[in-house]
Amino acid sequence: MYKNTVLVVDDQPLINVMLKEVLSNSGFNTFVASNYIEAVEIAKTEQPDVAILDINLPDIDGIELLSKLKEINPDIKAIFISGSFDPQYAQKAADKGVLRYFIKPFDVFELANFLVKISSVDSASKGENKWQMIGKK
Amino acid sequence: MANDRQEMKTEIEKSNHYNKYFTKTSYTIKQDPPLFVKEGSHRVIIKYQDEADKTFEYDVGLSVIEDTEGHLGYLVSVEDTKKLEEKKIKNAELERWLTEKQIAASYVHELRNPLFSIRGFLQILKQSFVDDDKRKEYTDIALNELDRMNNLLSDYLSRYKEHNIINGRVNRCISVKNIIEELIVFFQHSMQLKGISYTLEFGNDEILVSIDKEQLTQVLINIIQNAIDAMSNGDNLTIKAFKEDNWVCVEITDEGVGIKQDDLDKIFVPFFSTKEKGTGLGLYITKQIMDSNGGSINIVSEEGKGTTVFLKFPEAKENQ
Repeated sequence: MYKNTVLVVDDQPLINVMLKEVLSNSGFNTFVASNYIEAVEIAKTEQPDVAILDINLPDIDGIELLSKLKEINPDIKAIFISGSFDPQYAQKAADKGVLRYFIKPFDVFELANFLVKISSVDSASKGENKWQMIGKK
Repeated sequence: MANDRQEMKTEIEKSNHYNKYFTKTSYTIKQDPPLFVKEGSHRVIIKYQDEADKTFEYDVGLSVIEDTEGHLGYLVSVEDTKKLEEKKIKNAELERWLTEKQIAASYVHELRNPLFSIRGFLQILKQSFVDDDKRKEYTDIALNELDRMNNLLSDYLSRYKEHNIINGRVNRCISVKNIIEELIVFFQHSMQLKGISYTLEFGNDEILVSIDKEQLTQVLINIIQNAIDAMSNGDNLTIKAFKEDNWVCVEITDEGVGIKQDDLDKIFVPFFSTKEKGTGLGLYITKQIMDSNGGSINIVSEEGKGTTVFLKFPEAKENQ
């Protein structure tokens, strides 16, 4: 069974568009949310396996949001993204089981590759090659 | 009760506190005399009789303590008002810097959002070009420039960190020799790789400076890294540390490519760099740190022969 549904939660719409583009093309069924309410809604209806969460959302912070998502799916995996690095927060996040903490602006393919690694999805044929194909046209 | 208080006054007069602060002194009390039979806080001006015209102001607090059996005790606190003022100013300065730092941090945080979406879209774009397509190279340049921009933002924040430390620091004595020796271990590998040797020249005296360890380390790393970057196989790095009058001098001499006279004039200007990936903030920050610690930095260089950086710090006394 593939674990291939990803939820991205960031309040920046363009970041959501960009991450959806990258992750969808890497073989993930990707949903985006820009706030707490949307995130919980998607978590209930789509049952994502992995959540990529911006830690500074206007209505909730990353760790709190992760707790809410875990109430819906205790097995959900989490990756945090943020514009700054706070070692104390990172420690708390690690204690909550957050797998990685990416600092913006980071390499999006590093994120995609990490997701591939933890999700057993073989994206090679769907993902990066797809862009290569477009380039050759 | 009046008797109790009279007794208490006598007790205080006999106590060490009284002897320490009020013996051989005449004092005037601005409010609520007499001090020692009245609870509360008081400002006391003390004139030393043996030191002409010297006036000291103290904030004095007195509390009467009574236990369940009715025994009276007292609590006296004496604080130098001048020191209190200094502390207040220092706290206000620190608070101002912390606020500014916070604003800077949130700006940087917000700027990284658009930087990240640009970076991501550039990466997507880059994937669509074949290897020999010029446009692939252009997106690479744009990505590198974007990362450089992000490094500038990080440097900007670290500048705030330095100021924060300056205002919040506790004066400490740091051994220059120890720090240099620690740093040489850190740089040893990269010097070996480039075939660079080094000489350390210290006297026997302990050389102490009063500066935050992190700041001193940053100053020395910036200079030593520049020296190593400028040198090549067979060159030697010399670091001297010695005392001169009330100053601690550190001289870092490399046998590298040297600095052009035109560049030497601009070397402390922010964002000026001769390195391909330099931010141009290294020496600017170094100078800021030296200035804010009452020190100085001077650079003498000859193209093709090498560069010497002269650092001067006020000497720290052991008991500082």
